Amino acid sequence: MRTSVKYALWCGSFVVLLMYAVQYAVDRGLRKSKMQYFATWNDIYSGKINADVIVNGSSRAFLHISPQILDTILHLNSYNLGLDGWGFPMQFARFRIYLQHNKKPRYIIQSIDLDNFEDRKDLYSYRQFLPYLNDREIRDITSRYEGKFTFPEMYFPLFKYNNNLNLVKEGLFCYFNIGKVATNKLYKGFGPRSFAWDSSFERFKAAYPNGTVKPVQENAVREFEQFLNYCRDNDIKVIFVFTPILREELAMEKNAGEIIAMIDGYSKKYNFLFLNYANDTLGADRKYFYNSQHLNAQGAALFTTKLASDLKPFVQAAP
Amino acid sequence: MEEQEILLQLNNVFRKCFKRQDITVSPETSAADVTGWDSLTHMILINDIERHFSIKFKLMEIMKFNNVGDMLACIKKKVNT
Amino acid sequence: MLFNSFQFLLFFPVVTIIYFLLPHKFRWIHLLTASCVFYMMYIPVYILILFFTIIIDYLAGILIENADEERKFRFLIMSVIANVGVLCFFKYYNFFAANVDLLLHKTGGTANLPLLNILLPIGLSFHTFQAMSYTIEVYRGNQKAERHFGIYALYVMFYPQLVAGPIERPQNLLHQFHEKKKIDYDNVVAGLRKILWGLFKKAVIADRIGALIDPVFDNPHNYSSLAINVAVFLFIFQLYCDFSGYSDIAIGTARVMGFKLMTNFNRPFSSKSITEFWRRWHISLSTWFYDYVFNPLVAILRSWRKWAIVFGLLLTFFLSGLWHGASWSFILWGTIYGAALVYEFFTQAVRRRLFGMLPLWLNHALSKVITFTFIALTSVFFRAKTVTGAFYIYKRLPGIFSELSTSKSAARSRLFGDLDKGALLTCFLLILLLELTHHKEGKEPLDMFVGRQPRAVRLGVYFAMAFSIYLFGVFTQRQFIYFQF
Repeated sequence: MRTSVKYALWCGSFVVLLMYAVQYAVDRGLRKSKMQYFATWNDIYSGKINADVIVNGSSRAFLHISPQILDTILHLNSYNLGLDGWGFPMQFARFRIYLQHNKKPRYIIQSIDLDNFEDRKDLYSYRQFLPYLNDREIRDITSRYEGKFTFPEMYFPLFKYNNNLNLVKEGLFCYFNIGKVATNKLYKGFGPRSFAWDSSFERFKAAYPNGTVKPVQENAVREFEQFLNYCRDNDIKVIFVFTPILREELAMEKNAGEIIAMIDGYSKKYNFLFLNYANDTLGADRKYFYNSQHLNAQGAALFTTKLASDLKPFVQAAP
Repeated sequence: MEEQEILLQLNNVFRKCFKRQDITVSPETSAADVTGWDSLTHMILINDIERHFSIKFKLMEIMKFNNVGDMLACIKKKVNT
Repeated sequence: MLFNSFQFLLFFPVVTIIYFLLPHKFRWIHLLTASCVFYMMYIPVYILILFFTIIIDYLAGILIENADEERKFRFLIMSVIANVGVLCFFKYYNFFAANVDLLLHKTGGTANLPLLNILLPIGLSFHTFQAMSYTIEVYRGNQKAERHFGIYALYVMFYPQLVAGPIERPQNLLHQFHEKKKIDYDNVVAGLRKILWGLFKKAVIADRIGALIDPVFDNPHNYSSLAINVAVFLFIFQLYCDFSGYSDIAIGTARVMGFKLMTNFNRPFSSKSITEFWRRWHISLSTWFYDYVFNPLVAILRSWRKWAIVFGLLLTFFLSGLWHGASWSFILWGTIYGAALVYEFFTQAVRRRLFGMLPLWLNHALSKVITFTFIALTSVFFRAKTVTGAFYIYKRLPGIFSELSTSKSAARSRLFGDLDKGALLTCFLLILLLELTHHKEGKEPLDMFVGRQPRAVRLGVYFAMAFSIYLFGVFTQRQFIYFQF
C-alpha cells in the first residue's frame, strides 16, 4: 500500500514537471504562431513593426483600413492594430505594449466608433491573451474584466489551456517546427471580410425599434485623454477617422451627434485632424457592408483609397 | 388467543391480501420475502389485519413494524386485552 | 464554496489533515469551524438562519425526549413549524405572493404583496430536511436526543453534505461524530476514488453536456427539432452526472475522514419502472418523503384502502416537486411522477402478465427503454424554467420525423449544423463510458473492481481521470463563450 503512494507521488511530480515543460514550449510556440488570435500580438512583441503610421481602433479599424493601400498611396510603412470587439481602454493597452517593443510611430490613425467610450464587462476573446500572461501589462488590463484569469490559470501548468487543446497542439507544432501549423489572411494586421449581408441589423432593429443610446464611460474618456496627451507630448500626430457606417444605423444611434461632437472638441483642443466619414456616400449603399457597422472587403478597399487621398496633403512620406 | 393461532390467522390474511396461496409467514418474515408486499401495499395489509382481528393500531405502532414478529406481538397484546 | 473550485482543492486537504492531527475531543470544534467557513463563503449572514434552526431543533430534541405523549407531539409540531417556516419564507414566499397577486388580479382585486429581494440560502432545502429528520426520529424513539450542542450543530452543518446532501438520518450520522476516527488507508483511498469519479462526472461529463445543450434550451426557436430532441435526451445525463457527481464528492470527502454517508444514486437508468427509478434516484430524498410523508399519511388514511395510496402518491410527489423549486414547472414535474406511480400501482398485475409473455431479455430491455424515455421527456419540466417553455419544447419534438424524412440534401446537412458535431460526439462517448461503468457496477462494486487491478493500471486510470478533469473540466463560464472570429 505505501508503495502505491510512493509511486503515485513520484509519477505525479514527474507529470507536473513535464506539464511545466510542455507549457513553456506551447507559450513559446504560440508566440511564433501565425494563428489569427496571435498574429498581430506576435508582430507587436517581436518588435519588427516599427511603422510610420499605426491604425488604432476596434473591428472598424481592423476591417476597414488597408495598410497595403495606405503604403502605396502615401509611400510609407503602416500597420493596423485594430482589435476586434474591444473599446478604447484595451486598444490603449495594446498601443502601450506596442511602444514597449517598437519605435514610436509618426502618425496614428485613431478609428472612432460610437462605442469607443464604452468599456466592455467581460474578457472578450480571452484566448488571444493566453501566451502572454507573464506580461505585466496584459495581466493588469485583463484583470479589469469579468472572467479575468485566475490564480491557477496563471501559475498551474497548462491549466490556462484547459479546453483549448487545439492551441496546445498549435503551440507544440510551432515550437518544434513540425506538422501543419496555422496560417492567416491578415496583411499587416488588416483582415477584410467578403461576407454577404447578414441579418444582425434586422434583429437589432426588431429588438430596439426606437434606437439606442451608446454609453460614454468616465474611465474610457480619461484613458482616451491620457492617450492624446501622450501623443501630443511625444510629437505623434493623431488623425481621428470616423469610418463609414450604414446611414440607417447612424439614424438609430441617438447620441451619435454628441460622440462626434466630443471628437470634434478633442480635434480642436489638441489640434489633431478629424476626418469624419459618418455621412459618406458609401454609407448609403448596403452592398458595401456586411452588417450595419462593418464594411465588406470591397467597401474597405474603396474607403481606404478615399482616406489615403484625403490624407495625402497632411502626411509626409517616409524619409 | 395463542401466538400460534394468531400466526395461522395472519397467514390467511396475507394470502387473501396478496392473492397468493403459497405464502407462509413466520415471525422473521419481512416485506422483502413476500412477493407483492411492498412499500405501497403495506398499509392495505395493515388495514386487512385490523379488520380481521377487529383491532385498531396506533400510528406509532405501525411505524415501528419491521417484520411479522413485530405485528404478531402487537396483535397479541390487543386481542388479549 | 463549490466542490469543483480551486478553493476546495485547498480547503479539503487542509481540513482533513488538521482533523487527523487534533485529538478526538477537539475535532468537533475543528469540523464545525470548517463547516461554518465553507458555508460562509457564499452569503455569510445566512449562517444566522442555521443557528436559529439548530438551537430550536436541539432544544426540541431534548424536550421531546423528556415529555409525556401529548406534549411530545406538541414540541414536535413546534419544531416542524419552525423549520418549514424558515423554508417557506426564504424559498416559497415570493412564489406564493406572486400567485396570490395573480389570482386576486384575475378576480378583480389587488393585493400587491411585497416581493422579497433575497437570494435563496445555499443548501436550505437539504439541511432543513436533515434537521427535521432528527426531531421526527427522536419523537419516534428511534434516536436518542443529542445532549452535546456542538455535535448536534455538526450533524446539521457537516460540510461535505451541507449544501447538496445526501440528506442524512440521525441514526446513521450522529453517532459517527462521537466515535474516535483513526486515519485508515482503505478509507482514504476509497474516499479519494469517489471524489475523483464524482469530479469527473461533474466537471467533465455534466458541464460539457451543459455547454452543448444550454444554448438549445435557452433559445429553442433557433434550433431544429433534431437538436431539441438530442438536447432533451442529453439533459437527463447532465442532471444525473451533475447531482450524483456532487453526491459522490460529498460521500468521498466524508469517507476520507472515516465517515460513512448513505448512497444517494444507484444506477437509476437501469430502472425497469418509474417506481424502481425512485428507489434508485436521489435515494436520500425519496426515502425521506417515504418515511416522513407518504408512509404516515397512508397509515392514517389506511381505511381508504387503495385511494389512500393514490392520494398519498399524488400529494407526496406534489411536495417533492415543490421541494425541487418554487415554480409551477417543478410542481407539474412532481405531480406527473405521482400520476405515473399511481398508474404503475394499478396496472402492476396486467403489465406483469403482458410483459411476461415476452422473452426475458426483451422484457427487460423494453421496460428500461420505456422508463428511460419517460424520465428524459419529463425532465423538460425540470430544465425549462416555465411551463410555457416546456410546452414549446414538447411541441417541437415530433418535428424530428419530418426533418429526418426530408430527402433534400441541403436540409439534411443543416440538421446537425445547429450543434457542434465534435462536442456532440464527445458527449456520446462520455455517456458510453458512464454507462459501461454502471454496467460493471451492477455486477460488482466499483471499488472492488478497481482494487483488483494491477497497480500500474490503477495509477494509470487515476492519472488519466485527474488529467482529463484538469484539462477538459469546465471551471469557468468564460471557457465556453464562443470566439466570434
